[in-house]
Amino acid sequence: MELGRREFLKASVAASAAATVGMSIDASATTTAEDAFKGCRWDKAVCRFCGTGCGIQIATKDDRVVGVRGDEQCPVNRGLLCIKGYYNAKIMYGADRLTQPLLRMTDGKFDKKGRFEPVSWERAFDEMERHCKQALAEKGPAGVAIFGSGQYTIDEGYAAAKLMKAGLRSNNLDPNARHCMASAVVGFMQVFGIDEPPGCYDDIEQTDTVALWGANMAECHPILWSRINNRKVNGGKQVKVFNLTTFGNRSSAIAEVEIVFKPNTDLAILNFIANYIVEKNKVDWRFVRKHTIFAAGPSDIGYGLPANDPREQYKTLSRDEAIAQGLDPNKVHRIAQSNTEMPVKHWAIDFAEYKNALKPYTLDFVAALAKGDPAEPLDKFKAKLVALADEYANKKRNVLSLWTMGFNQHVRGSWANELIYAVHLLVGKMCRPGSGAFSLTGQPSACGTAREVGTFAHRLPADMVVANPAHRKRSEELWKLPAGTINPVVGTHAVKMMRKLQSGDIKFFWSHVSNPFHCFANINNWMKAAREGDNFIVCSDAYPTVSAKVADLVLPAAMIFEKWGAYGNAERRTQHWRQQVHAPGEAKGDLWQIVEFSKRFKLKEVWKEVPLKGAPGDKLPDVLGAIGALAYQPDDTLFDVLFARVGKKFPWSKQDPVAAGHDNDVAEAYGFFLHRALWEEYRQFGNGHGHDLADFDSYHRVRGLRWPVINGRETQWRYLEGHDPYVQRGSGFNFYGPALKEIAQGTLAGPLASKGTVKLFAGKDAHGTIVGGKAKIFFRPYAEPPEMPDRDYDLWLCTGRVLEHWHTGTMTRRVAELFRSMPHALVNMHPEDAKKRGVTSGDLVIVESRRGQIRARVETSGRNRMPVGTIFIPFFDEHVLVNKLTLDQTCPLSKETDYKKCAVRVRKA
Amino acid sequence: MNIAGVVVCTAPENSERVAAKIAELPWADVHARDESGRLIVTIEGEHTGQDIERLSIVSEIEGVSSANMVHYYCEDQTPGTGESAQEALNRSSAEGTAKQRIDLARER
Repeated sequence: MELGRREFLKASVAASAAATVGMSIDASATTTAEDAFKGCRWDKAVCRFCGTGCGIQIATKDDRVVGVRGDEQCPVNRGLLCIKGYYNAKIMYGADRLTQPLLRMTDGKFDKKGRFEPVSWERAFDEMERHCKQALAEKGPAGVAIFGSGQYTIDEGYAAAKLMKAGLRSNNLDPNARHCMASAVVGFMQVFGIDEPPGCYDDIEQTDTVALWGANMAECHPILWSRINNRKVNGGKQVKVFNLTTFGNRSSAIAEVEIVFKPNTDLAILNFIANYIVEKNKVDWRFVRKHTIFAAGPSDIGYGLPANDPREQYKTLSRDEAIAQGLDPNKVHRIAQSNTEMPVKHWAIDFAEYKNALKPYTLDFVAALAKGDPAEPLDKFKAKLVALADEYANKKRNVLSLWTMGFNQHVRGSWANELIYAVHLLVGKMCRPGSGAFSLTGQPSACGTAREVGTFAHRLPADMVVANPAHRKRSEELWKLPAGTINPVVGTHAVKMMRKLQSGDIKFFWSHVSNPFHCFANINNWMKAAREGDNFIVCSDAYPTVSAKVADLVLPAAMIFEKWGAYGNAERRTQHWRQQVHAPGEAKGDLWQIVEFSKRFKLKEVWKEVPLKGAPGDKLPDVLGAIGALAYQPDDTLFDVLFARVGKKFPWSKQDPVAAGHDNDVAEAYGFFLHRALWEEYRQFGNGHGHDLADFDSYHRVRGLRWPVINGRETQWRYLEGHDPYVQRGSGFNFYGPALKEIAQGTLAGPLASKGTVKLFAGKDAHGTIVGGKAKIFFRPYAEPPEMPDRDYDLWLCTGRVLEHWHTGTMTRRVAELFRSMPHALVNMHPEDAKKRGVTSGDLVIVESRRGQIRARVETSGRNRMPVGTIFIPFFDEHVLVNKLTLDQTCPLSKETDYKKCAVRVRKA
Repeated sequence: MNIAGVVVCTAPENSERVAAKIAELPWADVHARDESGRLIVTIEGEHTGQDIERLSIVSEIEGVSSANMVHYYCEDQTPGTGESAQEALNRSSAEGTAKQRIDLARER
């Protein structure tokens, strides 16, 4: 490039950067800035990657995105972006974008063993229709499944939920967010009775102590990390950071204290802190008496492994586990796992029971159990645990606890979530500005779509569930369905979907915005099931992923700025954007794909009586008799009833003030503004029920709003008087989440019928909102994971992300800069562990588990500092499929996979 | 070629020294400095585009409290390979896409 142009571009980028943060720069440079982007259209949007939800401004020219800058008006990132954020422009332009549907064929006919050939959309839908209807005829609604995503836009997730739950009457819709947030959800539902964090990012600027519990924020949430950094700089020496992790990582760079613990012992550390607070008399009794109760549940709940696995039947407690449960460590305790079906049940206990349960969690016991770096002196580790406990116990300090997958991807992930709330609730440091336990999100719309829309096997929108008759009734009314249409049987969660593909119970599987055959644990099994089973696998994606290679039909998907959409971030902020450019070739958005597919089903085909195991009479009733009252005809399609009926109320025009001249390929295809129509229908589910959202148009004027949004005002801190409009004056706090608010009472051992039940609220107001609602302080014991290093497989394996890549690398491995800076997944290992195996940094090794093996290169001096005995391999690389090694163990409550621990061995290749 | 616009934060008393350090880097330019200690810097990625590495070099200069990209300009497209998604999917070896192999070869 000629020098003049380069200097000119540098000056203009500098001028734009200065303008972004409100710095002045000389006028000549500002002029060049305007020139460099001359003819570009700038518009607000939101970043495609993590759950932080940074606002961006993107520049388009000639139907192509050419520039990105942080949106200085967005309160999340205030103009800053991380390295991935800047590549929002490039991810759409990989050389191998999918641009036409591809079907496995031989001699012009579908053949599961055939090669991929281009077909028309019409032909693609013909094949899908044929296989889906065959599966429905053979297996009923339980035989089909959609695997969705926390990267679905809100309208896509909503349309998928409506097609499956209202149309096909199948609850087999579950998102990849199952692997990401499900344990956090169970924690919220069990403790507060309503999903998602009470606090918000503004806590960061008001906190004194930040504790990371299994979140490498420096790499995975860099912009929030920079806010924490700034808080440290501005708050001076008083602001402290604790990094709790199973290996040293980049987040320790600014931490005062790094606590490296053994996998799963975070449970014991949390109980140590609770015990410390109780023993030192630091309980905030005014808060605890007025706003909480104590609770416990069963511990014989298995590990979410297949039912025939012996570990799902009996567990012989280790010495540590016996102590942790208050049992005699010198006796053998062989415990039948009798609560694998109902692990979420729980009951109230009194404080004396709670205090007694915590007693074994002394500093000596927990420090010896939890110390994760063999090289660290025990006394030093003890001092760190006490320093941490003091931060929580000290009444003068605000504490913010943050976590991501360390807690959530955990065989006791729901417990870990419950225990961190227990610690915060004991000292009254919850839902106050600067203090709280805050669950971070990994995906851009795990909250906004997967959770709020409810694209899970058990959920309906706005925290409602399919198993609750009142919730089904309300959903049927809002969706204008005959009574009895919605299937009352909880569908198949993600991990079970794969097991059912293997057993032949699911025969039609469609994945959206995700890469299941790359990211599930123990993938060798599932790849084989997909390729060799009697089933039809459809994969909608933008690039040829591992999952596309495994599929029978690949559908080319439009990407983020090629469609209208909205995401909801980790702090309940909903942000909408407009379509900026057109998708390449014949690629189409997932919304269009879902809605087009709905045209293939007539009411008389799907709303008749159908077999369904577990429903009354093992069937779903015929509801066609009631469609006349709704003015539907048996020959109407699901498109007519579910999408066109609401869509037609919102005509599309490019001149609409919200459209502002932008295209909308979906609206242009149908003649109505489907995104606006679905949004206005969707928000009726939550309005008045603690999930209030603003109207569609409002979001196009602002940089997102945090729900509940009431009279145009967002809510920063929920449950707190003066901030949350659902909290009555004079009450201080009201934990008004309606779920699980009347429970049994008992002792640690179990509920006692003689004690009856207890209500966790004083009453309800005229709108049905709980008054005087209480949160629960749970006791949960330490438990080991089902597979730990032994003689044969002597190392812990942990997997996770790296800064440069997003999840399975589908997009970021196609950005040359990101690819080059981190081309391959490496095996991070302690130099001593490497030496013991006769390898050094850069050597090729074979990593094996009981489930498979992979080859990769060793790194002993990278950004992660591994303790002896633990290795880390990230999961982004399709050439190093670490999930061939991982175990499909889950938290039994949340069904979320634990990717953070299993046993492997390493040898030189 | 990539050009990244970076905001570097320093304590005001350090900003002059940090600016001089950055100016010594052949691929970085300091465009502006204010009294609160903030610098506006551009980082050039050559054709190999090591933006991340260079950003971390800047952030590790003594006296820098944070260095964040706020603006990004990309002119080049990701290199094409001639292999379509269809070809990539049909390659039985499943050894990744041609593009990635080409990138690898280039790196070696």
